[in-house]
Amino acid sequence: MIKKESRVSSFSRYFVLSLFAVMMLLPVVYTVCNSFMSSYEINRYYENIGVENGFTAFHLLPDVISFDSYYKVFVATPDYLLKFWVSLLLTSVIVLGQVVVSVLAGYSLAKFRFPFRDTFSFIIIILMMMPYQVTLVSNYIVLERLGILNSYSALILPGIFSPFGVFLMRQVISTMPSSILEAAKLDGANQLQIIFFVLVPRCKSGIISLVILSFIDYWNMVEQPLIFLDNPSKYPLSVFLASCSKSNIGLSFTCGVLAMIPVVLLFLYFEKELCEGIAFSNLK
Amino acid sequence: MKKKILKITALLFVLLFICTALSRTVYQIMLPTVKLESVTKGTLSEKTDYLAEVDFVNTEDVSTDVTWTVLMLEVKKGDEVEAGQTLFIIDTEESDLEREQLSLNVKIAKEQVLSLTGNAKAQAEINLKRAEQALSKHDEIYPKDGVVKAIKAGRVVEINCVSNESVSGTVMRIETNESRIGLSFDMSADSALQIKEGSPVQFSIFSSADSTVPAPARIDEVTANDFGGATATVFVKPAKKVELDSKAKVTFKRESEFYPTLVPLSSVQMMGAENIIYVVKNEQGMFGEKLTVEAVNVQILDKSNRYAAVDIKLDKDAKVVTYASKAISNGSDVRLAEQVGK
Repeated sequence: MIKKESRVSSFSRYFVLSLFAVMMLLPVVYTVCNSFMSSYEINRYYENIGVENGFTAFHLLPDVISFDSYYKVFVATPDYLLKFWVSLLLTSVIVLGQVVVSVLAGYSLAKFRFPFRDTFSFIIIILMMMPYQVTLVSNYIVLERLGILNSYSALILPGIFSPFGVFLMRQVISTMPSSILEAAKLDGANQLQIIFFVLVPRCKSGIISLVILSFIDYWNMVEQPLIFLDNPSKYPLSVFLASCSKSNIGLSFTCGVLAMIPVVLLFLYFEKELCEGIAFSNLK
Repeated sequence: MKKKILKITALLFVLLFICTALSRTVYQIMLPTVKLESVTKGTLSEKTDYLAEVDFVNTEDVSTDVTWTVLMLEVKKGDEVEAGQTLFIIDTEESDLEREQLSLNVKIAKEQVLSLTGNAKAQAEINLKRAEQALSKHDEIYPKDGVVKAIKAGRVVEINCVSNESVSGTVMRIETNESRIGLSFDMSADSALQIKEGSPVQFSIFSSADSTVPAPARIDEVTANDFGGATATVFVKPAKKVELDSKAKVTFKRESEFYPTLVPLSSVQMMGAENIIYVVKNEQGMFGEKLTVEAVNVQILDKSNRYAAVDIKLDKDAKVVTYASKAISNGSDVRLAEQVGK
């Protein structure tokens, strides 16, 4: 009887989990499969996209496998690959800067005692809770005064100073015993040495979590380029993906696959550290 | 495992980098090449030659498109006539009835305009206009009281009718005292539209020994512009005597009004009812400046053999595409024809 019950519960558990897995994976599989559709098929199945009350077919598998879109994206026009490189460059610089700033800020907030420390932490949490759009106008004004609008600096500079990164690193570093840092001090290490040789190796998983989360965040940015950049040729890949229309839906599928590559690789490479880091920072 | 992923990542990125370099090269090669010309401003001047035939020399025809019944001839061949002198009288019995009906139509339409309101009034106004036009056309065809008069003074040289008989076409020909000839020639409908009274014209007569030198003249009257068939007959006042039936080379010179934007005619593309020109712009691309084209809808105000005056204002240093090796559309990237092979 008990065995039967456990079988039923196991089946239902697997069923629910499988259902969730299908729900999560379906858009990815759909994008990958549809990226192999020919222009003719795309026009045929998605001709009503964007049309009011239009019916758009759910068509998972292509009738004929075609590399039409891949040829357009990878060979015929350099625009999409260039957008990919722009996205990669922007995201890498932002993530790198964010790691530096977040580690330093997190370290100071976690391990140093100074006036209004808790107030600063509170403000950072409040900023983190706010949607990006709240600070968009004020960011725009500041960037305009700095004279860096319509340049990549307008995306990089606000991206580097992320409240989430600071908060995450503060959480990670605060769980680290102060005695380790004091021991390093006693050994004659200065603050930079402590950060590079003690803090960073100990918080590796937390830093990797920050890298992956902020990479995904900025890899998918849409509002910032649209608002801070005037020239559409400077837009990263994420903006093209967001502006999917009837005319470029086939390319959108292929660019979607292209956009998946760095994120998937990053996740596969740092999968273990990501799980550890999230668990470590009590964010799980 | 990590090493494998790292290797795959490196391989993928190298491949993507190669693809980027390759696609940029392919893209540059595949770009449509264009030839450009600057826009300008000024007047349109045009010089066109036509081979013409001298149809009339110092004559004025009395002709009709409808059938007239001549009741009484007042002149005979060889008579000298004054301007306004009666030439012959036609029967107006039928035309008077027709005129009466047309006048009645005008009267009814006028009453309707006064009595009706709103949309009905607007329709009545249109009807009145039509009725008035019909009446005025009738008066043009049928002279008042049936009396046909000489428009210009001269000598009757040809009479193609007799009393109490019907006639159509040229009824009478009068050799006028003015030096005036009629030339007919084939031309394009567009060019025919541009011939205006008072425009300067030059012509040289081939068969006449004393008129080999181009003679300046001025278009006196454009009498028949059959634009559908594109045959124009114009009367000109020549400075020298011209023989009938001789051949002539007619040179029209035209100078238009001032236009702020003139574009080469070859840059204008007709797309249905729309005229489109492609203006080249320097845009900031990912690899620095690049050339793109912007499609601009224009209306042609006037044109010559080479230039068209358009209704838009462009920068003084703007350039338009006069030739493209492939089809281009709004936003297309292009490269200059001179850059091919560089």
